[in-house]
Amino acid sequence: MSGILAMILAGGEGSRLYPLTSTRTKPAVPFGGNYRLVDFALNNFVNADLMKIYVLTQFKSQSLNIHLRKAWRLSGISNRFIEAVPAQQRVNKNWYSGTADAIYQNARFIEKSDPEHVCIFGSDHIYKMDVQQMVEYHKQKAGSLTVAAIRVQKSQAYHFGIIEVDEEGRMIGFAEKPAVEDAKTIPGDPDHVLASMGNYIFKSDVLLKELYEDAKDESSSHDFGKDIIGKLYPKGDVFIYKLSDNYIEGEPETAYWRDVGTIDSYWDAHMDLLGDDAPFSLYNKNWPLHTYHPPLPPATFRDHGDSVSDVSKSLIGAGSYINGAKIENSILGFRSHLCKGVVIKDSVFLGNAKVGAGARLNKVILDKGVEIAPGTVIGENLEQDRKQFTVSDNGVVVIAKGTKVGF
Amino acid sequence: MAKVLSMILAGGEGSRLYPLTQSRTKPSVPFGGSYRLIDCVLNNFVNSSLLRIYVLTQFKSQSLNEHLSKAWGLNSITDTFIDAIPAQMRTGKHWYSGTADAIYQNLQFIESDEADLVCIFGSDHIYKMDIRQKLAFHQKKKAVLTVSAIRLPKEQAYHFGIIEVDDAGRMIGFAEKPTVEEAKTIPGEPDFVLASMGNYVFDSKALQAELIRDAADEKSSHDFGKDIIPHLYPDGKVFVYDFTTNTIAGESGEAYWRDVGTIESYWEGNMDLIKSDPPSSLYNRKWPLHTHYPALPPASFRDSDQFICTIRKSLISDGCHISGATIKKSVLGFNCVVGTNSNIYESVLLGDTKIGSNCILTKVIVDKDVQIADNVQIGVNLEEDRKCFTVSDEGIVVIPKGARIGF
Repeated sequence: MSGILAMILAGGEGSRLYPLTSTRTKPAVPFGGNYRLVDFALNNFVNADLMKIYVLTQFKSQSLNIHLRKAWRLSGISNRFIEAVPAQQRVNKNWYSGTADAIYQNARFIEKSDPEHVCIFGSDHIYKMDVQQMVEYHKQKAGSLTVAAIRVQKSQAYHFGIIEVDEEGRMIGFAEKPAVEDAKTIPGDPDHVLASMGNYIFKSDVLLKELYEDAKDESSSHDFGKDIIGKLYPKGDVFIYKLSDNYIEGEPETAYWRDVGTIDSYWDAHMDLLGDDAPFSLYNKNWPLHTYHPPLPPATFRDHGDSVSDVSKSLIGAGSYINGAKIENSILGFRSHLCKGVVIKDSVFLGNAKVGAGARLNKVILDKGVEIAPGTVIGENLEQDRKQFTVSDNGVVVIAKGTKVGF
Repeated sequence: MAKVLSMILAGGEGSRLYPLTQSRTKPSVPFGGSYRLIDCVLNNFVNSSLLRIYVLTQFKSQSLNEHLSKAWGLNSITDTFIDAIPAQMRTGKHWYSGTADAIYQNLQFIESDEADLVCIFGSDHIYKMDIRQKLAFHQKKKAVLTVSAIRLPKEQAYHFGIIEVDDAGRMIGFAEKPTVEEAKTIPGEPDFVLASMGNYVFDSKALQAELIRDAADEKSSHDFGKDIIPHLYPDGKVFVYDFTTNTIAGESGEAYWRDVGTIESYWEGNMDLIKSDPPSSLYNRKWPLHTHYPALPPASFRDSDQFICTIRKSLISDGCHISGATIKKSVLGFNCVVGTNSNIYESVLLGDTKIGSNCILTKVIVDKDVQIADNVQIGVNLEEDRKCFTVSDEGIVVIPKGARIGF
């Protein structure tokens, strides 16, 4: 019994991200021009030199599988691996009924690998964490479980699972999305609460015992947050690890962690990448963000007559072709092709898009493979846009994968 | 289908590219933002599905070896490989004395292989060729050796090795850099000549016999162009493959083949990529150009104070960070930082470079890892520049790797 095994939960359907999840599972949704959501969790492990990783997939996983094979395959010399494990109905003919059930159905991988500790992490948040530091903390506390948490304003408590701790960091209470008045604040820090990040490090034997017991419990929903943790923490050996205690050289002091589960939060998190005082950066040479990079040349900028290319506060991916267009406050993924006179503002292109001459896009998310006819205007008349496209509460227009608009 | 083994000559010192070749061999010199010169020939083989390749290295090869292992390591269960072979003094304590000697010293790799045909290609030209078409030509002609040649206007003959052919494409004469009057034109085309591209397809057995014969010849300079070909063609089994007959889906216009062996031609090769009607493009989905991509985010563009980014006719690679600067007719490699109100014109930045604010760079090649302080002007006053830097006859300033300027 030795070492650390990681199990990444990557089966999320992501229905609130529809239509971005109409053809792919949530962890495979592109993010930040070059990446997929799952890359952030994987980089947190790989950059921490923890490389025994199973990625548990389930829902529409083909796109994720292709990405994992292209971007994350390790050479077979050592005992390091990053392997996708599809839902295989090993235990019975059911899909995973909850996060704990997903691990339970794959418990044999834990038994076979026989690690000392098991990391169980989600894959649909944007953040950087040196997981090794959380492992050290977990070992030092010698508890059976360590839960990662982020310190958030008390007024935000109703969005999260809020953890009550004692002064030693021991978990002594838990409330799912409590009212702000009811939320238990951090000892000595009355304006802040600790929100669970859904990331767990278990002692291996405790995890297996809990999973087998939970599987037999017919009243359980087989969820880590609702069932397993609620049962474990009263024993007094569940500890909380604060993301703000995690240190990565070159990162800002304020820890960044975003759920990107809705169209609006997905768009917001992209806007967080832009500007001089961006709260989250994709660039830190001490924490490189690996991903799959298709064979593409640098972004190409050309003039077209008197139509020149101006770019402000934007990210532009490789293989993009900007032919006399204006781009403001936007993120353009791989192979975004803008014709002359195009104006793009506050928008996110997932890649492989073509926008015809003179088109204007304002606060639009363009999924892959979209083609926009010349002169098309999107995002200026939401009433009109709602007839054709998904429009979020905050007015972000989403163009689904492969759509041809205006032809 | 004949079995093919490929040998890439990648030992070139590239002294006329100094200082770009000060710390690396010529095939390892970066090109076009994302690439190294050697990527061109390797993509020709890989995109032709010819994946049994030895790369013969010699001079300052560490940078090349690292690139080959990062970008071109095949992880394969079949009989495919791209392996670097360093000069190993297998036949005596001397370095390679000529191109034929380089192959002769590695003859055992050919002898121990089952290949019917051996491709011997250089690695320091920019072009795209579907090598399968050349192999088909070779087999159709039942040639012992097929030499690639490019059709050029007669006036340029004095730069090249000019091949005389009969109507059947058989080689019947060869002259190294002849005068324009003496150059033999193509039958039926009195204004054009055929220039050797230094790329050969040999019958394997004939190659082996010829190399052994040449090695024993004390008068030989052990060079394919000077010694092997003149000895072989009088037998009538050396044919010339006209490069202009090679077709690649998605490529149009004149066949492009450029030597980038001097600072001037290297700069022009880069400028060719950003012309309005570029004679050479890095972008063709049917002929992807593979290379190594470091873990970097998309290029980012920020405003600063009153300055926004104006980008015209340029290539900008991943990891670049442009703050309110103007970039015209330039190629920026990975991870170039350009500060506020700086102006970059007609320049080539190889990557990992930081340029401060209010700088002007005109017609400058900046090697990797260079730092330039604020308010520095380069390429504006060539008299001054000559005191510190290499300046080519045509006025291109070259900043060597790792330089710190203006601090």
